[in-house]
Amino acid sequence: MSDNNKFTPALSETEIAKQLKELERVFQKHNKMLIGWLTNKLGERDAALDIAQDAYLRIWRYAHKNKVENAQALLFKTAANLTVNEFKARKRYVTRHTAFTTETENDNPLENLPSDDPSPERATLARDDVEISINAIETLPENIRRAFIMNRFEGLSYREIAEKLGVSVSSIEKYMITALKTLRAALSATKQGTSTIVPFPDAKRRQGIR
Amino acid sequence: MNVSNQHEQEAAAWAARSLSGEITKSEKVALQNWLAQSPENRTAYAAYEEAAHSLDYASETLLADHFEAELHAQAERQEAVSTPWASIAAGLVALLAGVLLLTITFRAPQPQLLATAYGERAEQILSDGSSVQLNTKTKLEITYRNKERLAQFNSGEALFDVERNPTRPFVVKTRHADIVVTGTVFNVLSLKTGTIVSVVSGAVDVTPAAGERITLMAGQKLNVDTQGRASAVEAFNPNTALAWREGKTRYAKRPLGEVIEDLNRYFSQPIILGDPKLATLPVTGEFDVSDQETIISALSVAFSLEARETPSAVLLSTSER
Repeated sequence: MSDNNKFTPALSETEIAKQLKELERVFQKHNKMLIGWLTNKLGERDAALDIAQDAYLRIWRYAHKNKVENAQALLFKTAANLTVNEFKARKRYVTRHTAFTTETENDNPLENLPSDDPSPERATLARDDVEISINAIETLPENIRRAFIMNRFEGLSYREIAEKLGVSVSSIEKYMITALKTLRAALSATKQGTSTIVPFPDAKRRQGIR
Repeated sequence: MNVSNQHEQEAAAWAARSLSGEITKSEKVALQNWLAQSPENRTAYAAYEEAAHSLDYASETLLADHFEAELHAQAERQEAVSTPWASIAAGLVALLAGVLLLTITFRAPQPQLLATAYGERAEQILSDGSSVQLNTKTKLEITYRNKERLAQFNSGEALFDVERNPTRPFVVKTRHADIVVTGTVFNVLSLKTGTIVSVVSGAVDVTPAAGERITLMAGQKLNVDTQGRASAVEAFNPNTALAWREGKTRYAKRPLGEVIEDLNRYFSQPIILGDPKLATLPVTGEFDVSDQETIISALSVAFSLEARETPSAVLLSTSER
């Protein structure tokens, strides 16, 4: 964990007041949509309200000490991370493996949420495959990639995914076959030494907003 | 490795099937048989399982990114329909201070919730003059946006009389289908077992969860099952389908099991048939749903049944006498 914050010049009172005002505007603007989305994900309005509150308060506190460049992006990122945590807590999604954290770890306190990291050895072993697979899945068309993530990590059935993407259930099954074949081919090609490993894609994007 | 050989093709298909969340028992047996057939099958299948798990270590990052992207997409969609009063409200709210604002007002903008209890009926006139009549045990949420009037159906039955406005369609969403109208009168019955849309006047577009859009005309009805599949379009009888508006239910040669299931929507203390054979007896008649006692005695007399009350239900069984 780096110590970027100590190099950040302290924000003036006016700057803080200004960005808090901007936060209010952004929270208010997206509140209804956010709660609707959270309710849909979590299946109950109470949990959705709790998570939205949690996100607002975290950002509110954060903004008293840190510069917020893009309040909307920060809100969505925080809400997304809190939702993933809630999924994990509820064991709603299929895999219990933790994020590929070492590369993406950063100093955004909003993201330092508890997680059950694997041992460093296990993480390193798995990382090679994960890099290959991430590169492979990012080459796939948007809908196929989304279908795979919704199925594997959000725990949705093909029918549920079909509803969300507005396509037939059999299309989802075809998407999954394509995704699995792509991953299988990428993993197998590397094991035979025929593929070049490129750096972890979009590492900057994953590090979030500064 | 040759990914195009038959073992590979079949293994990919089986792997995708087993991730579907809907694999059946017989499919599981077939998968076991297929695996037992050859070591090539087993090797190929194991490789696809590995492929399916190969992103597990990135699951949180991928899921968080996916959620984040969904939120951005929703915000963009909302941007397109944003209302001027939202910014006025935001301005007013900005006058209020810090944490108080956080804890109270962010919960404020809510859709209009309409709900009825067992046996209750209610009518609500909406802001545009449209009206909704709710039958027993019904819950829906109305949200009016600039470009859309949305009714989210939780469950139950309602008759919508929608003011015509072609630029602002009225959309009813149930878990099985989306129903879109511009101005018309129609009935929606949405229960765990499916959704039935019956059109009284005008025309209605129904998009089943697993199917193409279907246009229903006045006098027609459509049944969408739990899988989101639509039945054939049929004619319906308003005299029976809409009897609930007078607090009645009417049946013409319906099996007793079905009739009781329908009647139970009105009662917190459900009626249960003691013998499954009774479920097929044909029922023709009219019932006043506000009076469960009379319904039970009418059924008892008509079919020589005996009613026994338990704390949670009323049991109807064949009379010994």
